[in-house]
Amino acid sequence: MSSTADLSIAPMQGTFLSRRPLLVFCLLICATVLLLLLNVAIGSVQYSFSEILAVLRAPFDTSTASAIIWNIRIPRAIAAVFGGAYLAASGLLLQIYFRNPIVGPYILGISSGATLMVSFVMLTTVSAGLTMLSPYLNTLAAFIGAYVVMLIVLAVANRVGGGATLLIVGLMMGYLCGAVSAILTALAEKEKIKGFVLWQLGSFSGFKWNEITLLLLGGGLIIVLLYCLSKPLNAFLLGEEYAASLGVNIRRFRLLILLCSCALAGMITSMAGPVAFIGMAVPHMARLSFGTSDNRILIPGACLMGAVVTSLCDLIARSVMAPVELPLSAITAFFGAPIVIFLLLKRRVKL
Amino acid sequence: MNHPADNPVLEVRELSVGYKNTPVLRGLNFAYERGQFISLLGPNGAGKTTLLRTLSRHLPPVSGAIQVRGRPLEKLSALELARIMAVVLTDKITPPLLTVEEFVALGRYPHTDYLGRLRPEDRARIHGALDDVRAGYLRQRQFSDLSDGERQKVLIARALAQEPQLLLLDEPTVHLDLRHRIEVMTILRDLCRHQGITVVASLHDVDVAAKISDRVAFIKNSGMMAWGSPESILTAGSVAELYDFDQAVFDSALGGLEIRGSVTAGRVFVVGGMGSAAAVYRMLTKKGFAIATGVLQQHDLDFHVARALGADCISVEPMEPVNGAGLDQARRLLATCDLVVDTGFAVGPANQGNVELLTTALAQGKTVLSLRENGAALLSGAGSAHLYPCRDADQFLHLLDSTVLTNAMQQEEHA
Amino acid sequence: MRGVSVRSTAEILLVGIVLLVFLLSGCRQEASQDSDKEDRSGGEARPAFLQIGEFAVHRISANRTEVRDGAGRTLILIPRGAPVPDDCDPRHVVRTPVKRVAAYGYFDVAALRMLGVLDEVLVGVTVPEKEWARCSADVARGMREGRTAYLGDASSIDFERLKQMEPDLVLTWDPSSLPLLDDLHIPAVITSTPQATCLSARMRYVQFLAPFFGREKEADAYFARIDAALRDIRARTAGAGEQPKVMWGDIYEKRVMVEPGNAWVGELVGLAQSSYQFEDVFGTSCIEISVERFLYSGETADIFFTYRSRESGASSKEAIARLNPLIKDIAPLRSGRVFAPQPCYIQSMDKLDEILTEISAIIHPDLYPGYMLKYFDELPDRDTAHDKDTRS
Repeated sequence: MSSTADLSIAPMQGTFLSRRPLLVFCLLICATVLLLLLNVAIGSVQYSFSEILAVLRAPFDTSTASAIIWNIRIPRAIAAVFGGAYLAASGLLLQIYFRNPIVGPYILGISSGATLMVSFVMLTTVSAGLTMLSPYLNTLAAFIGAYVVMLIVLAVANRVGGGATLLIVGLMMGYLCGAVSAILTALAEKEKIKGFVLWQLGSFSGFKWNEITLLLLGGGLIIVLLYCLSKPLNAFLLGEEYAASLGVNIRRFRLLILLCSCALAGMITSMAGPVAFIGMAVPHMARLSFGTSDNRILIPGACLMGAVVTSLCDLIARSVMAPVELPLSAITAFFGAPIVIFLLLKRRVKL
Repeated sequence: MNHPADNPVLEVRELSVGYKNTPVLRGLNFAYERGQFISLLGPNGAGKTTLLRTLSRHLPPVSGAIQVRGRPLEKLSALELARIMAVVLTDKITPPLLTVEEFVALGRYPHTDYLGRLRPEDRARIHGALDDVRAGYLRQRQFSDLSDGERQKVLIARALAQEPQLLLLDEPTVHLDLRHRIEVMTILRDLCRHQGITVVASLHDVDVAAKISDRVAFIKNSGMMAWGSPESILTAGSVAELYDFDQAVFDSALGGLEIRGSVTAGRVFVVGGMGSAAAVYRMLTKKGFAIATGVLQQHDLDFHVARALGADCISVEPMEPVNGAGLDQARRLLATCDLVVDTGFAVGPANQGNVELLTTALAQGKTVLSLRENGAALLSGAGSAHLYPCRDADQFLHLLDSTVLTNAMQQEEHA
Repeated sequence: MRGVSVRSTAEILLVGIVLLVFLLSGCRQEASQDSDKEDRSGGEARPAFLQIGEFAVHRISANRTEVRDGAGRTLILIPRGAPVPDDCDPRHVVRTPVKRVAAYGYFDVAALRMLGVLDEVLVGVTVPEKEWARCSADVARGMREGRTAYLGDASSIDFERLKQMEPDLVLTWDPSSLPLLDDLHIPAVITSTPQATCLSARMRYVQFLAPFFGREKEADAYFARIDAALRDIRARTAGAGEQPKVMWGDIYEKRVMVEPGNAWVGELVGLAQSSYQFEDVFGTSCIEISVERFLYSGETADIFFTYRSRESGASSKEAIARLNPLIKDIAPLRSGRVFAPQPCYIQSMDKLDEILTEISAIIHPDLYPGYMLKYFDELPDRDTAHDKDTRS
């Protein structure tokens, strides 16, 4: 057998230390750090480099510059990084689970559920007595909407299993929620619609530090859990039946995957509104850049790539026509779609 | 080398399999031993796939007990089962951006740690599995780029990487060309012989199954119609009944199928024996002739082929000379035929009678097509004008066609 | 212009007139020949060509006037009884004076009121009766008496109902309704424009509508009234010692919107000797800007106008500050003044002169002693118990 001789010559692709993934990882980490810095330094209010440094050194200053940099720009930069990472991870999970390349984190109706609850709060008088909950009213409502949909999805998955049935149920729930939102929009006072339409466009603007903490802790836990699931996730690349024959506990795995994906998507949607495109396109970008389907590489890889893409698009959205803010989802699709097409054509890979 | 072991690898008792309490197969009882190759044969939709999926625990059984290595199937954890049993299914999976090596490495799932890191012994096993299926050269190729045959081999390698004792394959040779079909079957056979793996495969090639399997199961009519070694189970009757066809016949001595035809052209008397007539029978059947043949020695190759093709066959006991009652019968049959074929059989003291048949035919003015090399020398005499020598099969067929034409015209004239 | 001391009334008038001329030519595409002719002739000789932003009125003859609406479409106005010339597309011909009008929204209804034709001609609106009841008694009455019908929301008009009311003209901002109106043989005027309407366009809009009803006199009178109000504002504020800084926008949980600097609000604020904090922002209507710019501009602002009325969430300074803690430190919410429009504000565009004066009074309260707010409410620091009850 020639196997022992081969071991030394060609290390197996997919192990951590093979060259291409390592290179791409380094690039992405550098890009993330760079974009974080740029996002803090650039904004619609101009500050010189020395001013920014001075502010960074004195975090408890009460000047406007300090408020802007510490309370507005830094949370937003961090939110964009983590928001993009979580959305990309969520999309990756669902694409593997459904073995469908055009699936995104909102396919199961998560964002529709969040939109529905937010429309209740913003467009009707239901929330009139709840002002003690602001400024978290919208976030809380979206959170409830997203996670209720998630619970329904998990319950359905428990009964009918995964695959096309679950997908269709999720789609239908999305349509249902969308329909009710549309009715509420039609009947609402014109004054209130402005704000609601704004929310629907999704943005990382306005993050507060306690939201950032929740994002880091809650989402971080889920990402760690996810990384521990990367082995059964790899097995799942072969489909549910082969994965079962390999020793994966399919029922438990199914619930965990859906839980992680919907929890991540729901968290971002409740805090930033529906951000389109990242969850669907970034996993493809990651797969094509790293050149592998191994999830031990792809999970952190997609997270990093999502962070880079989202940070960059956020920077563009708020700088191109400063101080006017362009919708984030439009920028992400505008730049992301050609990149995915280019990568696909270059590699000629059957996805 | 099959060692009849005390505890079989897989044993089922009164098993019913099906979907949602509707049984597709009932009352199954069998046991698989170590190192056996078991073929499941049966028509489409009989339940072979259902049975395999129940054995691999993808489907719950409707009733009955399954025991794997002495333990009930439902009590095993997913990982324990994965270390004993591996499957190759018919689902077409194309995971993107996975090399063949990474793909096969997934088979090490039950043996690696929580992150799936591969140790040197895992890598050795992966390379070994690929070598076992003779696919070592495919290691660095992309899995999605493989051809059907290569993919099937790699799927088997992945299953082998699990180090199973039991390998279940659902229709492993269905889309493969001949070379890959043979390759896959020989690989599986070698796994049984050299590594003691029990292979259970659902197959459609009855002849290949007959030659490689240790045990054959007929799955039909909601149950197992037969179970045993192919030599005892596979007969013309049982195969025809299993698959419900009458256009061909499975001959266990020949180990394969002979395809019958409908008679459109006329009757031909073939004088043959010693294995010279088998090809001629097939050519004539293809052209739509009814065949009468004699005098053959029983259990001659030609005897088996003639019977399988449904020819009227005159035969004598083996080692007996051709004379007497057999020869008379042959002469009577000869008279009813329009055309005679001399297959160029070897002539010896025992079958001089057959030469007499030929000269009689010539004397009667029957057309004789002869595949003999020195036919003129042997068959000189009256009527040799009707002797048409043929050099090879092509010329024979050509003459056959023209004779058919002539006969047809003559019949029209007479009518 | 801080600390400029005024020497005499003559100088004030000079500055005022110069600045007024600047104002009138400040909007793009403004032709200036019209005002001279009007003043001289005393109303009889109509200007041959009037351009108001995107809108234009071109009087070709006594029997033919061509107007261009906000989308660049041309309509031909021909008096009843006069023959229709051959070169006119019958779909674009409007017989004047128009007797039955369906109007979208609030502004055109107010314009009709400005021209004094509302009671006679209004047959269709896109706002239900209960919304009109509080502030526009005339429209409400017309609806009660069946003269005016509710056509459904502007985004989903009931065209059958519209056809039933048989309007001669539809004033709409929705170009997608044009094909359907064409099919129904109802002429339509697009009343919205690609850019935000500047102050002059707002003032002169009635002059664009006037030819449809033959109410040029009323239009001119309206324009004169607004003009006079503007002059008054300029006069009063010329001596102002300070230039307060004004913001106009809205605050949501995570986002902020502002009125762009090229809209009439920015102009008025500049006119009244104050500065608009978002002068450099361009847009057609309220537009989202970054929170940091809002905070930055807000730190030095004195007055903040919101879009939403007190019932819709802007009930007090504290309530607004609680909505979005990131900008709670802007000066108007801490130590300045915040104003929200009263519910009737949006229906009162015919009282533009009073609105302009009120905004000026808000900006310079010391120059308008004893002024009672009619269109805006000053928000209290905190929600009172009374507010909590009335909300919902």
